[in-house]
Amino acid sequence: MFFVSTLFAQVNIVASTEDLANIAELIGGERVQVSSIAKGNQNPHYIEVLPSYMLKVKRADIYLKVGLELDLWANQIIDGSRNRKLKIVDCSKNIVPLEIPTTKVDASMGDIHRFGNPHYWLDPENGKRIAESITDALVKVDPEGRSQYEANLLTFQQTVDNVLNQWLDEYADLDGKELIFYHNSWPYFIRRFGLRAIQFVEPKPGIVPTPMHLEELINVIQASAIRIIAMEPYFSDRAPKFLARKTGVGIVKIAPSVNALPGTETYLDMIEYNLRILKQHLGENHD
Amino acid sequence: MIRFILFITLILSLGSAQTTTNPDISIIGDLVFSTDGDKTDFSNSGLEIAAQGYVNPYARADVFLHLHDENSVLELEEAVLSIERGLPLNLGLRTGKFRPDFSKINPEHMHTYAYILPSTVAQSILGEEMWSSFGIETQALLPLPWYSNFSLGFFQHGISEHHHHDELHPDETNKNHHEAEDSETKEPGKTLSSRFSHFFDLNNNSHLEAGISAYRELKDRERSIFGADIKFKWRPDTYRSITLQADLFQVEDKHESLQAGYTWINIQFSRIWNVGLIADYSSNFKEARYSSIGLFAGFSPVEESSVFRLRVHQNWHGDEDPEWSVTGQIIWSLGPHKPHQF
Repeated sequence: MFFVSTLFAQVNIVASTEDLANIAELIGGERVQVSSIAKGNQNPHYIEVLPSYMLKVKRADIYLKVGLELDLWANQIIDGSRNRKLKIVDCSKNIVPLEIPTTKVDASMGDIHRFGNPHYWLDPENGKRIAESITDALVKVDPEGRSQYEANLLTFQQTVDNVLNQWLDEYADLDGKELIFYHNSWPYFIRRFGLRAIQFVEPKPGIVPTPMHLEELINVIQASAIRIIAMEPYFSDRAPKFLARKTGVGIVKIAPSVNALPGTETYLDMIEYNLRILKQHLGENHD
Repeated sequence: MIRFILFITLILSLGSAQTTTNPDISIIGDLVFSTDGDKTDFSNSGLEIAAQGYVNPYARADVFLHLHDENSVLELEEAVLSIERGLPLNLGLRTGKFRPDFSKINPEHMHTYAYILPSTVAQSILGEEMWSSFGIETQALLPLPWYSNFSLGFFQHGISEHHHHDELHPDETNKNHHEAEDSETKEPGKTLSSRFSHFFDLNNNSHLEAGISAYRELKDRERSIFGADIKFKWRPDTYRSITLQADLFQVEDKHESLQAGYTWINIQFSRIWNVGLIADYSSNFKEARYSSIGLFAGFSPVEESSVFRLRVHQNWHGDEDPEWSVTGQIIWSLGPHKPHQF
């Protein structure tokens, strides 16, 4: 349910998602107790605001938001907590967003995020930016832990640099590979690892696939020899299964968040899980 | 009065914020048709206009205007300043015109009803569009291991029998008012209300809410209403859920004592479809027992921005023949304030 890291917590942190929570644990170590609102296998766009979440935040020192209007529901939870001492951290503040709309934004575009695509944590480089924001907040709330937080930040950043170099080498054959995603959650991930999202099962973000769009996808799959549709576990696989029946395209479940799937219990595990399973289906020696 | 409220809200926002950030503007419109086989009526169709936003980091303002139908005037449904954080003892405060925290159904806006129209019994107790009044209400989270909230409010007037057609037929309203004076039944004055509510997470996928409410008019009719409410929800994933809700009322005043209640169950079995059942009962509705049952269904093809709902309903009132009706609703929304399927 909620991720609790230590029995001897001093700083109580609540995060909107398990990704932010896991990074906070790595930075805070034994000085923090961390939990998250959205579970990894939940669609973070549609989190029902429950009074029990408000109670959790009431006892918190820090709240970590994803921002970029992904977790608007967090505002109601924060308000309902009545916690006037709560330090609210928008973890997107050090991020350079992708796909910022350059035209007038309205509902005809679907569930568009007007400040840019909010799924930025899926690029490990942005994981370092998130960690910096969390470190700043922790130092303000718990100055005595400064040296530990900064040391942990440095460790985390070095770890990310090391594994990222390793991944770019190990998964190099993903570069240039084309696939279809269900929802447009992956621009940061595919930019980092060189993949190409040729289409989406959703005709527009958040819009259920229409028969006309499915027809178009069949043509794209066949014309471009697309091997897989990659989708989050919380979406309905009805449309992908239809496409699979018509074209033979494979369906692969990938993790958009920590604990979305078995084997994704940490932030870096989650990234590597996605790389490994995509390589399994798209790599030179794919299944 | 609408202009006054909007002016105050504007002044508060100018005094607290030095930005030019606009509030969220939303519009929800619906077309509601009802037929009983003899006639078809569109009189419950309407429009809700909402302006919502933060006044400062600790308070927000929500204004809801309601146009009941093409012949009615724009009414102020709610204009409320909510101070959520920053008060001593972690209290919450609401002030302005708003729906008091009384029972489960009173604060709910009609466009969120999966069953289209309010329970007749609930309307008979809380008013045609539920109870809304100018007043002040404070809320306190109690120091219990589970979420427990106590709210206490003082309001300018209690539940009235206001109907939208009163604006169109002031002569009739005046006549009713004079008749009411003659019968010693007046528009209720100052009123107190309170609610003690609890929320329990049963497991990862289900929760239970329970509450008790009290309402007391301080003079004139000196009407008292005691309520108990319950809501259970099981939600295994984003798009599927089963929700059960019920309110029970005990009404006491100089002229009557009655027991009443409603219950509904809604099954959201996919992102697009839902079905449900609603039933209500009153021991004394217009001088006789009343009960009803309705079956409803909803279709939401694109997110929560447009919904189609249908309800088949039958009621029994005293010794009268049972009456049935079919009600349909097409509801749409612009902006962030939506019919809220999920």
